Amino acid sequence: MQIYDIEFFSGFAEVDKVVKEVIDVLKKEKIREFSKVEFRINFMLREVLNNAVEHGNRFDRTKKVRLTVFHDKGILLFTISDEGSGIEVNRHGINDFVLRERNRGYEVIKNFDFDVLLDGSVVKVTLNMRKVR
Amino acid sequence: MIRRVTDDTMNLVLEHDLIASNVKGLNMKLMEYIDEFEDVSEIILDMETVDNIDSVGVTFVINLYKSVAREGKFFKVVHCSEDIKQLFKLMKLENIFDLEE
Repeated sequence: MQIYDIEFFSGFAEVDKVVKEVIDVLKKEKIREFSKVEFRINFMLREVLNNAVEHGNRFDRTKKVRLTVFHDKGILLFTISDEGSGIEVNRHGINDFVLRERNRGYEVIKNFDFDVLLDGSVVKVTLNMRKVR
Repeated sequence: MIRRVTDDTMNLVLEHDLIASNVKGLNMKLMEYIDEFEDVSEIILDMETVDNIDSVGVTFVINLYKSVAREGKFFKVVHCSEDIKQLFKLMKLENIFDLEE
């Protein structure tokens, strides 16, 4: 079920506002052991949204970033898209090397139990609460 | 960011989250203090009020450490939350500077 959807102009202040809103929405979802992942979600969202603003839209304030959040029985899906040209994907698909090239922060996100899928200018991040360590 | 100097220690106390939208202001503030590093032997970054951090914030800490190390001074981070401490460990920053409760 979609629980949050927003499109916003490219700026770090906007990212901060959106992240706070998403955290509030997630708190209302009463997800079991949410306190265990709140910091991780906060960090992940800032990472991906800042990247969309900085590397995707290159701080062009006329370009927008879109974030949609879905929640279904402890599985959270965050879809983030920007108006940049995206990342080139080789015929083998996304791999760790691509992730490293994009940003070292994605390594941290993966260590925080998120699954990350990059597809051009769209990033899909999944967190399965049952798999959280 | 508030600066407190006692004896030969400079405490830099953060007042807000260490996130991208705040880092530009912090860097400007730091420029005011950086010349005074030579008057002390230790610079401590106090993160008691920091709940959230992002990569831009982490880069701020690393750059601060580099500026301090260039002056041959000691640097440590204090009062960071358990979550932030874990993040720093994950990024292997605990091998670069001291993290204290």
